[in-house]
Amino acid sequence: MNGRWRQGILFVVLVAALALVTHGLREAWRQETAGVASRSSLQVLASADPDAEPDTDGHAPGGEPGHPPGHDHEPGHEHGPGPGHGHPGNHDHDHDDDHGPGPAGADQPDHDHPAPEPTPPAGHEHVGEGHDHDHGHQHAHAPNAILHELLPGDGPHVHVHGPGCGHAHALADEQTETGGPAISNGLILILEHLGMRELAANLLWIQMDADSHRGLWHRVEFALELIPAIDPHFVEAYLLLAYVQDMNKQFDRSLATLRAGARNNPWRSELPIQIGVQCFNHTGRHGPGRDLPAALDAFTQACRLSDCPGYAFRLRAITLVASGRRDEAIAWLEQVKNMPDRSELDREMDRKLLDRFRKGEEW
Amino acid sequence: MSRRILLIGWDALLDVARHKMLSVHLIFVLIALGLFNLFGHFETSPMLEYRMVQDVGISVISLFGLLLTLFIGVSTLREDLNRRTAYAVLTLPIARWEFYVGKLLGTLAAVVVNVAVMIAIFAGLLWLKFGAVWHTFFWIILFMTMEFSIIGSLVLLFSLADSTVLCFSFTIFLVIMGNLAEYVRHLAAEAGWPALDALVSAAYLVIPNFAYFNIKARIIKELTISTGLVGWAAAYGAVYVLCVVAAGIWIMERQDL
Repeated sequence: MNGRWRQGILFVVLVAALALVTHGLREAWRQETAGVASRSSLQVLASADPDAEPDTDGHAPGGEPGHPPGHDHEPGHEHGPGPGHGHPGNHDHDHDDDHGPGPAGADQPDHDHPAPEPTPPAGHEHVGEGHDHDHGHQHAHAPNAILHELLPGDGPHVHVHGPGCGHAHALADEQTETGGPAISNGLILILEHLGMRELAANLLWIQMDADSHRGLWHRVEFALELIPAIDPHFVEAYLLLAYVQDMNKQFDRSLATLRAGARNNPWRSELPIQIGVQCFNHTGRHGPGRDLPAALDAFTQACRLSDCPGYAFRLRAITLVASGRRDEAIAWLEQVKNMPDRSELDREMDRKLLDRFRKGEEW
Repeated sequence: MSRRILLIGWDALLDVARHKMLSVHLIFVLIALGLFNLFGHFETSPMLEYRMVQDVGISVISLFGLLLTLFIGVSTLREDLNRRTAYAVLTLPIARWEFYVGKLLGTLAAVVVNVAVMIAIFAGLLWLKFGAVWHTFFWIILFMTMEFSIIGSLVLLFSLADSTVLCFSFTIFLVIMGNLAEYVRHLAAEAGWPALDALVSAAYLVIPNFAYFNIKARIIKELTISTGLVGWAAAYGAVYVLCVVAAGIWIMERQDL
């Protein structure tokens, strides 16, 4: 066999090997990134329609949207800023320690209406509790086994994470929303696929912060719409955008933004908690329009996640009481209180809330 | 044979280490990574601050790593050919393919050392600032090394061309096309022309798909990396480098030096 033949055979072998490993790697990559990283950005690009109907997935049977028709223009709406937040004009990002373990009122016995307050966006809240893992610790995505037994069957958006299971497979085919204007597809493609997606999103966040201090709110909102389109995992941007939209009385868009964020980040509890708070609507702020089944779904989803803060369990119990399921709420909170990994502070709060449940307090 | 290859590789590594360009780059990297302290003034939340610092740091390393790989790849073989030192070496009982493979090993070793140094500096700065470093940095080093190894082997192949400009242009073009691979494939599939789809698939056998090595997003978001992906990525990187080396040897054997 002469040299030319040997070279030919070597060439064929190398090409075959390359084709094989390319195929194998492609399949491995597809499984690894199913739903979140691989398809979401293209879907974000396709879905940036400001007039898009808010999604109502995840609501209880009956499929009521989060707010009744005409809700956006309901007179008498009062949208006070969330705890620690001033008016957007005085927007400040230093709120880390302003909040206790739960939404204001939820754990205070002397409060008349201890239903959940609208919480400000992440980066502004409950850093002190339940978020200690952010430094150097890898998320354990497997849910607490006890919790899994306590919670009812999987809701429409619940995704249980186990090590190596990948993420959001159930969400892969769902439309992603940002509730924002159309954004230059080319810019996003170039940034994302030159490996600079996160950098671009962070730089925009910095620009947004500077703009907020200068009162350039139109630019702030645009930046907040652009950031999740570039980096679908930038949870803080979804939360702040939803907050700004809520302040502008765009309640359905706000909810749609949060739901888009929850779809793209099904392992983060902040988003379902905020969805639950928005749907719960305390003290008649949204009047009879509050959507308790949706709130319950959202809190249930949050409670399944490993990074769920302690107060989310109480929020779920409160929602059960508000839904007329007091006995169930008491039984649930009793079980939660006895969970071995429950902190002493949370147990104390749980006890106080249980007392109020038993006294017949209404929400 | 292997001793001769290793000697040439070691010499190439020392040659790179002596290069002033490397020191200048490392100073740039230090400055760029050091700038992350500026992000501290946000103080939004520890999580967000850590995330921003990490995003910026890894992007800086990625960018400078690419530039370093380009410069290292060009300088090892092209400069030897330009300065005629390669001719003196090739008069010794050393085959051309041994010379080429030795240069490649030296280049890859230099790339690995550079990435490791940059990651170590960055991890040290993170430790100083936050008192914690994700152990997942290991995966970043591994995947970046694989990516830069492919780029390094491509630069070395293109450095056999007469022009340094051509070498840079070809490599940059392939890096961009490689990063856009998934989108190009997606667009070709959406076009509805089977011939175009097949053509693009064939093209991406030749063009490396760097999207597979871009795990920064997964690391930053604390997602898990499966061993299956690591294994396939390593196999892909190794086979691709082998193909490029085979092409380089084939060209070098036929070059009129």
